[in-house]
Formats: sequence, structure tokens, C-alpha cells
Amino acid sequence: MSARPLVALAQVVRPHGRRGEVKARLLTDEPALLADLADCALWDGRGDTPEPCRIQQCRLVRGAAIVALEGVDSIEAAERLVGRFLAVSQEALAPLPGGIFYAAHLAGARVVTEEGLEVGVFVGLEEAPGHDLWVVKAGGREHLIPAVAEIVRRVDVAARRITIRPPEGLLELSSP
Amino acid sequence: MGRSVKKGPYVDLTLLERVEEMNRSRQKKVLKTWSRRSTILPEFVGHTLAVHNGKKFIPVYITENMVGHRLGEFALTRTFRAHGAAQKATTEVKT
Repeated sequence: MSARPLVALAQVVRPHGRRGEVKARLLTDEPALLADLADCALWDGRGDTPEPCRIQQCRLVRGAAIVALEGVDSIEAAERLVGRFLAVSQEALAPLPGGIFYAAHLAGARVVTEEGLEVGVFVGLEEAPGHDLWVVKAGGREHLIPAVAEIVRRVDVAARRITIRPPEGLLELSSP
Repeated sequence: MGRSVKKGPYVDLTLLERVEEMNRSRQKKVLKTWSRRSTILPEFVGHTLAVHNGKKFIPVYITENMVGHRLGEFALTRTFRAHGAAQKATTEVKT
């Protein structure tokens, strides 16, 4: 995850209207990130040749973003963008409000308990209806840590260290 | 049609007893349960329940917003794992 050059903030789902706008599925907990973005890249998610683009207008409607991109002014042009990502480079990522983190920045971070016990390494996240679940790998085992303040006590992105206070039995739920 | 109000919410009695026992002893242990149909009661708030999704136990930290819903709603049985870039870019630590 950390080796990926770009971070996708939204994925184009379908054209919206007839003037070239597209509907995009948000891949972030902070929709303002996309709304405030001007320059981004259209990326297919695999190659390292993203196409620069400029967002003319972005509005959030019922959990999705309606985006107007410069140079895209017809439904045919918008259809060609379906499945592509609106992404920014890791260096250009905007700072986030407290309590929200880029998964790319957490990848590889050490997870320890408040007592200093090593739990594993953050490898990704699973979306769940109540809260995100952070996937922590330790050897051949995988722990799911609920991303709630009562359990995740401190996140030090610079030091790549996550301190947790797991309730009794949480770390015994791990699956191979 | 919804459940009759007269009956009250359904909750697995064993699960409720275990939670009440933890509340009495002020413990915070993860409780494993297969009872996905149990309604979340205010007594559960602040506890972490490991709800079985048919394959593994999913830890669910119970908050006030979840009261009245069923446990199974928070442990999905069909998870679409997005590949590569389609994964969520950010994650929030809920307070």
C-alpha cells in the first residue's frame, strides 16, 4: 500500500446528467478533501501514468460526489471515465482533521499495547457498518482492531506507531 | 411488520446475562456470540461483542447509536474486499 504512488479519493461510477458531470463513489471519511481539490489525476489504479485533470466543480449529494472535470463536457466523454479514480500524489495529500488518518500513512506501522506488548503491523482496513476494522498482521495471524477511541489510544504517524488498549479477549479472536 | 411492542425487544437471554454480569463486576471482556438476531440493548453500550459472521468473529464495539439494531447488522456475512486503489483511502477513529 505504501509503495503506491497515488492515493485514490474517489472512483467514477457513472455519468451524471448530459453535460459531462460524473458521479463518484467517495473513498474517504472526509468528503471535504475532494470538494476542496482542484488539481488531481485520473488514474486506472494500476499503471503509473496518471492523466492530470482539473476539477471545475464538485458537490456532495447523498454520500457521493458529483464532479465536473475540465475538458469533459459530454456524456460520451464522461462514460469513458467510468471505473477510473480521482487520485492525488502522497506528497499532495491535504492534512486531515484529528482522528482521521490516511490508510497509506498507517501501512506498516507497528501496533503495540499500552503495556508495550507487540501486537503486529498495520496492513490495511476493512469497512464495517459500525466502525472501520484495522487489520493487524502478526506472523501468520490476523487481528481485527475496531477503530474506536476506547481501543485505539494513540496514533503516531511520524513514528509509525499505534498504541491500543485491547479489551480482554480481543487479540485471541485472531484468524490464521 | 415490526415486532410487537408488548413483547419488548428480542435478545438472547444467555448473552444478556453475560453482559449484565460484566456490568455488575465492571469488566470489559470480549464476548463471543452467534446470536446475530439479538437486539442491542443500552446495557451493551461500551462493550465489545465478537459477532460470528458464519466464518469468523467480527469485533463490534457497541455505541449508543447501535441501540435498537440487531447484532448481525454490524458483522456482514458477505464482504466485498476492494482491490488495490478501490480500498478506502482514509480511516476514522470513532469517538
